[in-house]
Amino acid sequence: MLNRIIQPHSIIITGLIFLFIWFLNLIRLNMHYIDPFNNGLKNYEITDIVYAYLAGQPVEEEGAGLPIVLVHTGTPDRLSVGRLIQKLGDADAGAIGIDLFFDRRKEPVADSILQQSLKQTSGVVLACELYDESYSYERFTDWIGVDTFFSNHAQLGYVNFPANKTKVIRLFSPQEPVGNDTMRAFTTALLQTYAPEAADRLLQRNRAVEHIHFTRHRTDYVYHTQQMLLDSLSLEEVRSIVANKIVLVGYIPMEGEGDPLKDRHYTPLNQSYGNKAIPDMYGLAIHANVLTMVLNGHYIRELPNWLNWLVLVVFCYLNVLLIHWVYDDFNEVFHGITRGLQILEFILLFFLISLLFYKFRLKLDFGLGILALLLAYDIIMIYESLVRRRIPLIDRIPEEIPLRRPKTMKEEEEE
Amino acid sequence: MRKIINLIAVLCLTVCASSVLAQPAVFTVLYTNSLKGVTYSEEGGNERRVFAGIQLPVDGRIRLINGAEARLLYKNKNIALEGPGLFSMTVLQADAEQIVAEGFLTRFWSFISNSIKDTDNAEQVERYHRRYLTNARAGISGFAQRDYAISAPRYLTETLDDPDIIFRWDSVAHPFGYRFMIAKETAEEAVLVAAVDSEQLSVNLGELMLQPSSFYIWKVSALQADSTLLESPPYYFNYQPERAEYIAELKEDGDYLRFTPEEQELYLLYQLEEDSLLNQAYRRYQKLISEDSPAVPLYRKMFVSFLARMDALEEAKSLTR
Repeated sequence: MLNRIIQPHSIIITGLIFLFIWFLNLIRLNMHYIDPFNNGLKNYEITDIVYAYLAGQPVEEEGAGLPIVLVHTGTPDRLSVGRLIQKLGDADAGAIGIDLFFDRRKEPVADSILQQSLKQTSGVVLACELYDESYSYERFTDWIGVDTFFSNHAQLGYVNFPANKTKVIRLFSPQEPVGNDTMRAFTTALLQTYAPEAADRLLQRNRAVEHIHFTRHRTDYVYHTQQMLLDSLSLEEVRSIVANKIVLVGYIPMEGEGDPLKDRHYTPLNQSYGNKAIPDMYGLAIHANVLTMVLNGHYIRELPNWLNWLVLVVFCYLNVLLIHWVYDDFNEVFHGITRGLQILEFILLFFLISLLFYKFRLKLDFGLGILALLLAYDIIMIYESLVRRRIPLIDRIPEEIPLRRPKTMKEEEEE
Repeated sequence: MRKIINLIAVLCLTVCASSVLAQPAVFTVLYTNSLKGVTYSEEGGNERRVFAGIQLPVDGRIRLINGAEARLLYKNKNIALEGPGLFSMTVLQADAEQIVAEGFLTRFWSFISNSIKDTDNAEQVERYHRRYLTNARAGISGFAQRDYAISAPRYLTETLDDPDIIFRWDSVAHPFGYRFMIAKETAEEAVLVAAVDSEQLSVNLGELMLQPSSFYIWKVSALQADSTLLESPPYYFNYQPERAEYIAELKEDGDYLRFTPEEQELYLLYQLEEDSLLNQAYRRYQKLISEDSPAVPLYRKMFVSFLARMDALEEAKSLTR
């Protein structure tokens, strides 16, 4: 049995496949102008389909009891934001995240009222932006976006997310070095106020970036407008909504209202995962998803790099064995069977990756596995019809490794 | 032994009964678009307003007026409600229980089969363009003014200078009377609310302590037998009693003094309307047509034209008869 699994030629073919992939990787050029397919799917991952089409409703434990309230400010004026912070503080909000930039002083009266409310209310986190003057990409030089008139009286948290030109947000960095200090992300700073143990668990993972586990749209959170909280609800009513909860304040209008492009970003929840779509999620909802993930402890799991490679190599080798066997024993229908096998394996692989992600939040990096599966067919053909025929040394390698010494004529006669 | 069995049975019954009777708050309100338009009441209890973040027990009813929307969460199921309507929570609960969420396998299979079917490419769109023509449109609906069931003349808007104003509006079915309201533009709380049987209400604005620098709205609604609500649009006004002296100011104006006496009156009427003192213009027209003057037919024609501009067509018609 073992000698059927360990076959020298299949091992060589597997090696050739990975050599070819490595070679392709070496000469990879930025030729997207002649490759719209690749460009279109530049920021696509298989797990995007799980988010967009297969995830269903958020599970019960992430449901009604979730302590996050979203507040839409509209076009915010500082006087109203100041009054809102005051009211939320009086209503015993657990933590208040203000996802608005107060980058200059504007009207003295409104600014003073906002500053006063920040002074009097504990647990307020203001949004700021990271700035790297040196472009070293190792340590940010400063933060911007908040005047010290306000920042001196509240905690700060940066609202930057790592994203390439396609602006799909799937990662967040919990903390970053800024100057000689370490600055927390907006959500990390909120968690340190609201649930320090959850923030500690997040920081103890010691990851430079975390994949965001997106589970909810804006419509799955308790939602209010600033005007309603300020002018229409009494303090007791506001307390019944926000007491001991995280209140996120920012620009997040309902569908059909406000500016659909302001502070709106692409996420894996976008059903048009090939780009050229309207951004699907407001920044405030992205923060809410990060908080949901950390509070529930539902981090995305990843295989260690060595294990991922091991799985890839085993997967590729088993496929080579299978396709090689078809080549040897069913040579006339080799093409049909192999293509059929590939399609079937694609679907099974897609199902398996989706299921693992959906059920266990386990993210498998299997792009190379799929490429290896695609290449196996052609490399076997080239190897069998070209390499083996041209290089006698390779052709002399036995089909199977003899696990026992072959019997001599004398031994056979004695038997 | 029998006593022990009885005791256990009683305990079990008590636990079961208490779990059934103590119905937990099962609905979480995620969103409402209006504070006044969504209310909740239990059997025989008072109505209370519903807002996002609160939880509602299962034994009661939720009422939404016309245009009101609410979104509830029940056992992980999002329930969207739109007014007008009266919804029993037990019915909503039963409906939600019946919804069976698709499993992962079903969603996966549906995705795979759809991806096999959805093979539309640019070439197909070009070849069978009519099949795809209704998928996209470059235009929007909206921006047009909403239709309101109740309308009122425009001379009861803009700057009001007279403390005694008779607010009037068009007649609609009003089985429970009209609800008249004056509120500050930016606040939900009303300055004045009145239940009225007829299509007009006399209000002394001087008694309402209105701030001259603030804008207010007045609106009328009429609840119908089927719980729908007929409404007027919000009519904006501000109360500036000192503008009553505006005529005197105009009469000192250089332009006014250059006109002939006949032209001077026309100038005043024009300028009042131009400066948004519509109600003052209305009162001046009324005064002019009641005078004994050869210019009355002219003023009457002008008044009819003014009323037509003010959307007071019935009043204009009655003047022409």
